[in-house]
Amino acid sequence: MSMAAVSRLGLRRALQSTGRRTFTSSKAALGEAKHTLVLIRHGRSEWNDANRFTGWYDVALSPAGEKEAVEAGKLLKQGNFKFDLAYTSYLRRAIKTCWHALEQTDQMHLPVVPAWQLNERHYGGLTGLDKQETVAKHGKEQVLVWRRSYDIPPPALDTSSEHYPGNDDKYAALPRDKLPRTESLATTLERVLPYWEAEIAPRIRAGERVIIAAHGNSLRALVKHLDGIPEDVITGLNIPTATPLVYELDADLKVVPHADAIAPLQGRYLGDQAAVRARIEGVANQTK
Amino acid sequence: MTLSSHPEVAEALALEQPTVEAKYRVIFMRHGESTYNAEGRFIGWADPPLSALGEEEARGAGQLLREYGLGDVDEIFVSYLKRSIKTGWIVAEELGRSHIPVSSDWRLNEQMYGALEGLLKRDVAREHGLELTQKWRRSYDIAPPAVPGARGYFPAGDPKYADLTDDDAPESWCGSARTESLKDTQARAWRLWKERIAPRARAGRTCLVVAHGNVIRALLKRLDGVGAERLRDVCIPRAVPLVYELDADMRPVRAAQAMGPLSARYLANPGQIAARMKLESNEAQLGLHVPDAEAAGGGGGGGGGSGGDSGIESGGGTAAAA
Repeated sequence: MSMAAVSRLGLRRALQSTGRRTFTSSKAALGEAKHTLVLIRHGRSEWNDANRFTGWYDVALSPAGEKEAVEAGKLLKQGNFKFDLAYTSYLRRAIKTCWHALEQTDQMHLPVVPAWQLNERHYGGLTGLDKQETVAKHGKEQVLVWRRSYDIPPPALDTSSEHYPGNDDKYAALPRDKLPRTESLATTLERVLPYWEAEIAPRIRAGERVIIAAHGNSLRALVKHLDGIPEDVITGLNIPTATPLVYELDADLKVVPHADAIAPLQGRYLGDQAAVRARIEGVANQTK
Repeated sequence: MTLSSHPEVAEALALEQPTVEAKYRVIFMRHGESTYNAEGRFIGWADPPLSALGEEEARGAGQLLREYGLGDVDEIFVSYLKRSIKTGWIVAEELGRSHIPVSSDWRLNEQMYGALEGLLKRDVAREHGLELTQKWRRSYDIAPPAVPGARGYFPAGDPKYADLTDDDAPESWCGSARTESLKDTQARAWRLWKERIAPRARAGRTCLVVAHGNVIRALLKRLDGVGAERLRDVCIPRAVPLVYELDADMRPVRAAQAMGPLSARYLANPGQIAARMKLESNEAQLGLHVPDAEAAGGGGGGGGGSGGDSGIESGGGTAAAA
C-alpha cells in the first residue's frame, strides 16, 4: 500500500472515530436545524365571531382575538424566541397580532414589514356574507366548493364594489393587474410564494430570525410549500388562530421535522397540545 | 388705531411679503404618558411602557389628526423606546393606517440622562438643588452625570443596541458613560433627519415623528432655527401633534396659529395646550416653587427654567393665553 493510501485510510478511520458520519455514512445526511421560523395566524376577528367571509375586508381583532394574540406573545416569550424581522399583511388583524407578539417578547423596535402579498385569500363576491346564510342560499355543497376547493374561486367582484381593492387607498400604489376580484387558494399561493422566495427566504438564509403574522390561507400557501402538502390535503388543513407555529429549517431552508408536529405539518405549535388539537377541530366546525 | 392696523395699509404690507409656498408636511409628536412620567421620574433611555392614560393620550392624538383633516399620514418614525413605538402604533391604528411603515431608529431616542434615569425628579432637585437640576434638564451642552461603573455610550447587555459601538455615538459625545448633552442628542437625531426623514418628506410623504421631549426640541432647534437660549423655554406637550409645513427648501413656513419661537401649529386650542403645559411646569415636575425671576418667556404657570426629559416648560405654553 502506498504511503498516500495508508494516510487516506488513516484519515477515514480518524473521521469515523470522531463520528463524522457525513463522510463515511451511506445514508443521506439529515439537514441540521439552522434557522427558526415562526408563523402565526391572526387572532379572532369580529367577523370570525360573526361567521362572515372576510378575505381582504379589514376587520379588527375582537376582544377575544386581542387576548389570544397577547397569549401567543406570552408563549413566545416563555420559549425565549428572539427575532430580527417581522413580516405581516396589510390587514390590521394580522398587523395587531404581530405587534402583540413583539410587545410581549419585548422586541417592539424590530422592523415590521407589511406585505399585501401576505393578505388573506380574497373572497370575491362572498366577502361580508354570513357563512350560514350563504349555505342556506347556495347549498352546503357549493359553499364547500368555494371554501375548500383548491382552485375554484368564489364569484368575482365588480370593480365598483366597496370590496374591490382598487377602491381602497391602501392599494393605491399597486399595479392594477395585481388587484384581485376573487381568489382561490391556488391564486393566493401564486402571490404568496414569489414573495417568500424573493423577500423572506433570502433574509432567513442570511441568518435573520423571522416571524410571519398572517392569515389562514396565506399561511396555508406557505406551509403547503414548506411541508410539501398535496392540494387535496391543504384545502382541509385548519390553522388555529393566534397559535405560534414553529419551523426549524436547515441550511437549504428544508424543514427539519419536529417530534411534536401534528401531521400533515412538520412544524410544531406552541402551547398546550390538547388545547391546540381542539382548536384545529374547532375551525372545521365553522360551516357544519 | 395705529397706522399699520389700518386695513388698507395692512393689506398693502401683506402684499409686500413674498408668499412662501408650503410644499411638504412633517408632524412631530411627543409620546403619551409613560409609567415613569406618571411617577415623576427622569427617563432618558430607560424603557418604561405607556400608562393607561398614555394609551388614551395616544388615541386622542390620532383623533386630533383626523379631526383636523390631517389623518393622511404616510409614514411614522419612532425611536427604539416602547413609549414612542406604542404611541406610534396606536396613532396608526386610530387613523385606520396600521399598514403604513413605522420605522424605529435609536437616533430618535430621548436624550440620555445618565445616572439620573429612573430617579424621582423631586429627589434629584432636593439633593442637588434647583440650579444644577435645571442645568441638567435645560442646558444645551451640559450632560447629566455619567452612570457610575459603566463604560461607553450604548447600554451594554441591552440586545436593542447589540450591533452598535462607540463609533456610532455622536461625534460631539464627551465620552461620559451612558449620558449626553442636548447637543449630542441633536447631532445624532439630525443625522437621522437628513438620512431618512427629510428624503421621505421631500418625496411627498406626510411624515409623523413620534418621539420624546428633548430630542424633538433638539431637532426643532435646527429645523426651525431656535437659539439655545430661546430653546430653554420651548415646551413640547405630550401627545399633541405639532404640524410643520415646509417649503421647497425644507424650511418651515410660519403657521398663522404659530406660538412662540416655533413656526408650527399645535392641533389643539390654546386652552388645551396650556392645560398640558401646566402638567409639565416645574412645580408639577420637581415639586418645587420656582421664583418668578427665573421665568424666561411669558408668565403664568410654574415660572422659569425648563424641563429635562419631558422638554416641557413653564412660561412657553401659557404665552398662548396672552
